[in-house]
Amino acid sequence: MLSGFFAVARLSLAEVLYKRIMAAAAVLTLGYLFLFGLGMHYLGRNWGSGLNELAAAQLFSLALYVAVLLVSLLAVLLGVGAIAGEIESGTAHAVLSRPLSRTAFLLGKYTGYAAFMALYALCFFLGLWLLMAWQAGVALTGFGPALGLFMLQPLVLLSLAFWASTVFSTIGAGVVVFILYGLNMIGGLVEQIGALLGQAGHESAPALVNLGIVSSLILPVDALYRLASFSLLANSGLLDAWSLGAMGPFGTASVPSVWMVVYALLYAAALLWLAARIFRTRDV
Amino acid sequence: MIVETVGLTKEYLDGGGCRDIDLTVGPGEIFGLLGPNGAGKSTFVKLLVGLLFPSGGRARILGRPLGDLTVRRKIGFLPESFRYQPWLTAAGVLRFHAALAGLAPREADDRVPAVLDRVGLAGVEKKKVGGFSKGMQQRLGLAAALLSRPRVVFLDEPTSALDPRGRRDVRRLIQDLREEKVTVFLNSHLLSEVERVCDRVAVIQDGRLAAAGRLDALLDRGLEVEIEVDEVNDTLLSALRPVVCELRREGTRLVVRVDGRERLPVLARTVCAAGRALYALEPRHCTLEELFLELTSGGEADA
Repeated sequence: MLSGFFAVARLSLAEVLYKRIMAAAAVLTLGYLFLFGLGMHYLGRNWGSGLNELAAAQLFSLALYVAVLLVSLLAVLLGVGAIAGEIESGTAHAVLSRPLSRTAFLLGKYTGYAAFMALYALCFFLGLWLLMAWQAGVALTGFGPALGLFMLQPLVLLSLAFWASTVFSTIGAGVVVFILYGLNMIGGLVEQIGALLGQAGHESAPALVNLGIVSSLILPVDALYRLASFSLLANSGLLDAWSLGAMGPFGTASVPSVWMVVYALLYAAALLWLAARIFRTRDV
Repeated sequence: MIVETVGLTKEYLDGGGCRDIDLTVGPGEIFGLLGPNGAGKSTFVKLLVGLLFPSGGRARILGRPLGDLTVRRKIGFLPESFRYQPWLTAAGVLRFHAALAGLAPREADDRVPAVLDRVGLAGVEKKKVGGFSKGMQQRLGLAAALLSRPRVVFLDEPTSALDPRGRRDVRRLIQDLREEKVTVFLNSHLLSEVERVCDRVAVIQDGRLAAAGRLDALLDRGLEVEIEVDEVNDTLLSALRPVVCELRREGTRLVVRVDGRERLPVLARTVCAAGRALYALEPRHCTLEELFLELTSGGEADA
């Protein structure tokens, strides 16, 4: 049983590395990091003006947001075809008649894909952090927690995509997960806008913040980004509390509770459990 | 029994599937499952190998219930429509399946070249599966099915992508498996293939079992004889009726069914006694195709 699980995990990891889209993603990621480094390089030239520190923090925050977006998209694209794609292509027919439980197959695939996504997220995050340190001369604090949060986001999305892949076709799963992800992104932005309006005493601010919290309960990915961003920038010396909020919807005016991390871990585990439960009795 | 099903049923919302299938397949038997397209053959095989879950009835493979993982170690399966990872080499595919089947790496080292050689793919170990023809992929599927030295092999349309030489090779392979006491469950609509290799067959029509039994017993439905005479008249018909089981007229010919070959001289004497000139008396043996067409009442035969 375990040999089957490891065989599926190894093959899934190798499969991801073989895909052309991954080579394209690697090249585009390097290009993205190059542009980010270039921006930091020019900002770092006139350090000490105050304005540049704010701009650097904004650029980093935005870069982190887009990095989360790219990592998330890749996780979704990988995950939605994990089960449905195998069934549709006929690959599953030969594999699932072997002495391998459906749960071992599903977890093996998840492990392979998660290993890749964790590695990709680690490299991406390290790239951003090191460029910030090298070009702007700022070693952001909270590296460990932020890295963990950054790596957790694609794993949560991967769990959601795996669940959807056991219920829907590849395209159907993609539509469902992207809609939920879009909802969460908008919810996160609304929450931050609500928090900024709250600082100005606007009466509709609590409703907007609550909307964002509800969207995070539906999919706790944006909250993880906000926590990662806050962890890196709050004590960096680049910004004070006010300017952290003044960074707009990409900043973290409304800081999620650390319990959201626990919720995200439970959320991912519950979805995987549900996926395994559904897949155990699904006809292929 | 190697395979035993009692009332095995799989119902789909669109009305397809199979219903109330009672079947047994013994050790070392070559069993053929026949039926027109969409009759429920593949559904039945998928139920047996655990890809589908039954809506009713029960089944046992090697004495264990469906889905038992220990039994799956002793099962080989070639699906009808399947695909292997195109970026893997032939040896890579088989090593992956060897790991899934629980074979130790050293055992896999021995088995992979052996099964590739057995299905006529020796020398392509390092070639990527993406470059394989459909026939080569089917051979590779056969190799994967034989990898773990199974006690029972389910072959779902194993020759559908093969050329005549490939079909002959598969026939020989099945005959070799018979000698090795491996049970083969052959699902096919190529009747000539089934007729040549199977000991027993079952015919599925509209998801239900239409007939099952030994091939020779199913085909022993009396002897059909074609009689050509100078003229077919009432005297001749009246004389023949007591000595035949069935009688029908086809122009100047008569087609009758008798119990066996020993009735042929009686037929000849009866025709002559009725005053007719006998030009031809031609026995016609019932083929599997005729039986199939009769049982499936207008279903298409591909052989």
